[in-house]
Amino acid sequence: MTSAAEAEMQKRTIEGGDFDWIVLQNQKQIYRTLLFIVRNADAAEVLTQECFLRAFRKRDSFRGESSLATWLMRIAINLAHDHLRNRRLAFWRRLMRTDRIETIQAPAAHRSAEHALINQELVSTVHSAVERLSPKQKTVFQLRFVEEMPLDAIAQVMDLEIGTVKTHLYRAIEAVRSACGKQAI
Amino acid sequence: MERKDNPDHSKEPALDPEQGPGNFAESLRMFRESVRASAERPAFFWTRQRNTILARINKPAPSAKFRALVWAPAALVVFLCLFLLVENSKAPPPDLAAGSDQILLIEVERALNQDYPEALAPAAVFNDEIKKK
Repeated sequence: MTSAAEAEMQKRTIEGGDFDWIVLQNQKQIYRTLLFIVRNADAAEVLTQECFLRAFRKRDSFRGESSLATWLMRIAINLAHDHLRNRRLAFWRRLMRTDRIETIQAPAAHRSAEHALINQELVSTVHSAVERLSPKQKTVFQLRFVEEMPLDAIAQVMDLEIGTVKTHLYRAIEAVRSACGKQAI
Repeated sequence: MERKDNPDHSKEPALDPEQGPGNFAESLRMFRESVRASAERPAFFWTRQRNTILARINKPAPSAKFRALVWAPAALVVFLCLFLLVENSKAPPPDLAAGSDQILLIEVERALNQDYPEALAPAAVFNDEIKKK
């Protein structure tokens, strides 16, 4: 949660039209989240633009109850879910998904080739397990472990009760842990 | 708001896997790094994106005159379509229908002028033959 002073400052920033600064501060996180959900770089780019445009058009509705980043993230996630619901793109999404997991690389800073291979397998296992989660579980997992957002902010972003967020997160962790456990065996 | 799915709070420690077994926490750390790495883009990408967003924000909204120019032809086309539709529905029935009505009337008149029903025509012929003899 943001303090009242911070909220007031953010409200004035968005009302004052300093939108360049707002885009600069948030575009990377918004793009990364959208890319993770929609699995398509072009779509993520378009949706990022759409997110900021929507935020600009609806800037009067920002009341400062959550942080500006949380508010923007909420818009982005709604856009991403609307995009996924678009059945016309379902076929192309399936095509994209098949090669997506293969292209994700484990971090390169490891000493041996064997180490790198094991890490690559572990990351692929986590990605495969995350792919099988429900859309809500996947989003909660991403916001918690990639964006490192606190649970109350995730609840605000997803318009859920905090208890529901915990449930989604618990189930997601169990599914991913189980997949990693199987891979270790 | 979604209120179902009450969480089992006794399981809350599991929500922080970074405090759990090292291997899983390490997997999550690598997962985070890989997702972040996959979204890395060069500086010009962010600059271009920011410029596109700001350009779209600063693009003036279409004026009332422009909107009228767009809507007027569209309204005219709709009006013409409706006009043609109404005109077509008022068109007289084809001659074929009139001809078939005429034939039907003649047949009805002929049936009325007969002394007997058409079904009894063979009996009438037989009756005429008897009378002749």
